[in-house]
Amino acid sequence: MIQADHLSKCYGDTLAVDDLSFWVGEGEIVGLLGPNGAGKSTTMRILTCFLPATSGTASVAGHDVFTESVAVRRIVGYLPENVPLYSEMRVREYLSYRAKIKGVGRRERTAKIGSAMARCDIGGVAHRVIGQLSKGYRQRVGLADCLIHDPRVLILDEPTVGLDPNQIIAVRSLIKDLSHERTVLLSTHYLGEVEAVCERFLIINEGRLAIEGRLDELRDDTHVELAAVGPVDESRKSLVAIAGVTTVTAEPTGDGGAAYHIGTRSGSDVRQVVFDKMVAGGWKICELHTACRSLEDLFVQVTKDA
Amino acid sequence: MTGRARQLIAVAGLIAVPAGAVLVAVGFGYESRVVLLVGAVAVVLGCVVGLFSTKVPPLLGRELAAYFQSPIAYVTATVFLVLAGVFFFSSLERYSMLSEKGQAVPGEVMGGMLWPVMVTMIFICPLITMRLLSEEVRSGTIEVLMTAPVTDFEVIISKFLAGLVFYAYLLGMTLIHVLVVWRVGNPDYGPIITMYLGLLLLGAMFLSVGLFVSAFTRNQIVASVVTFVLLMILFMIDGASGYVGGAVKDVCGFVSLYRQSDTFYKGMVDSRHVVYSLSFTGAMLFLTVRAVESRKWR
Repeated sequence: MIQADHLSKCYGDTLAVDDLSFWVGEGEIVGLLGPNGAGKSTTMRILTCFLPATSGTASVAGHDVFTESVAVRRIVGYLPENVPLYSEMRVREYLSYRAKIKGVGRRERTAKIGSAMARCDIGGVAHRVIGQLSKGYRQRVGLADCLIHDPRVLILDEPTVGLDPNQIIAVRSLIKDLSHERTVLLSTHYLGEVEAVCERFLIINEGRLAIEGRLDELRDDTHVELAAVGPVDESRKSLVAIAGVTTVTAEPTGDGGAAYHIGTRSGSDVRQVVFDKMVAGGWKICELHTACRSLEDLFVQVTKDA
Repeated sequence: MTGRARQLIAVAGLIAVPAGAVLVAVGFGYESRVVLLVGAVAVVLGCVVGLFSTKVPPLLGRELAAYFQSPIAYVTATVFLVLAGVFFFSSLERYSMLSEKGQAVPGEVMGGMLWPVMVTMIFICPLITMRLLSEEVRSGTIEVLMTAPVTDFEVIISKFLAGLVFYAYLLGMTLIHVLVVWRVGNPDYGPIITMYLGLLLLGAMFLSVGLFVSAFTRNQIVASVVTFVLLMILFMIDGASGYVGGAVKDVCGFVSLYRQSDTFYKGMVDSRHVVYSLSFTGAMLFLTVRAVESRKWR
């Protein structure tokens, strides 16, 4: 649905996006992650035809973003960072204007505005002036604008920034809801957001794709965390000997024991064997649980290395 | 509107414009006012109808709403109307003095306003155009605007037309002075009509310069000051012809708005001046579209 091939974008001498290639399949919901200034917004601006790439090509639903830009703009709903809105307009007036310029027909306009407002829960502020709305409402007006022409593709640049926790939950569930019938690419700083709503993630750093993966794969990649008091070297040796264990790292703690990170082959649960070994050795277990690799670990790892 | 109706309207507009242009040329050649007028009306109507098949109506509607929802519109209108009233009064006074001596020229009482109103517009037009593009860039709304399925041309022409409608609204309010003249005397309407036509054409030029400048800065003050300076240069370039010779002198003299306004004042419509101001406006709008596009390769 969205395809980027070797995209690069320079602003003067600074290279914002550097040979970036990725794809988003139809109906997928993908999170675009990266530190500040990694090129997330620039990438989204290229995909929504606001800026052309310096080199490389991109297409949305088979339409090239440079040569068939109006066709792309018709099927994409874009929520830019900071949600710029005309502050002197009223909410309904703004949505009606946006529906008109997006080519929503006169007959279906009222119904579509109504359903977009209902979905984003802004019916109560329909007649308020946008400039007087709180950040949360502005964000939702922006989102309603995105949805008004029933786009097949949604590109959302930090859709939950500046919202309170309840609103964040509401917007996330809305995005999840929308993704049943649409393709969604969203960028965010909150890794929890990606874990909550996305199927796949792309982490970019300094304009390059650092890593991409599926969240369910990440969840499968489990390991065992153990904290025990006892001679470190000896316990480590006995842990490595367990069938299914691939790696063991130990980090001594102050109380004479250590925290162990036990990597296992997928599907094998070694917790009971570990318990038995510890008991057999006479060492005291303080903590024993399985954990999966968190997106946060991965994020820090790939963005620090580069 | 369905896609098919939209296409039909666009085709009708596309036929009307060149047909009207041909009629204008024929009317001009055979010195037939009727044919010429019919042609001109066809061109204008063709343009309007053609624009209706695009996204211009909603864009224009928003721009106009933005004018009348901001205090700038009312401040500008008030300042303009006060000044226009003063000019009218002094022109009327002079006219009645001349008329006592038996030297008055019919219609001159309104013609006497052309000059000061034009100078006032040099101050007013930058205020009308300063926010058109600058504000979109400053507030970031240009991003939502340009990622909607509208072309750069549609956006620019809508903004220009919004400025022109507001300008015409200001001018239209001076019709009250015509009403006064009509009530107290029996003026010659020819020069009055050409005066309004001339002011409209000049306004289109002023506004296109202002729109062009506003594409380059996010600061409204900068946009209005630069526009003002450019309009002043355009207005007074005539003065330079005293210092240069040859073709440059001729060009300076012709380009100058000071000279342009002369014929309208006398109740004439000089086709050279009409063509000049229309093509000037067209060229400025074209440059503005390019300037907005330039964000893409900067």
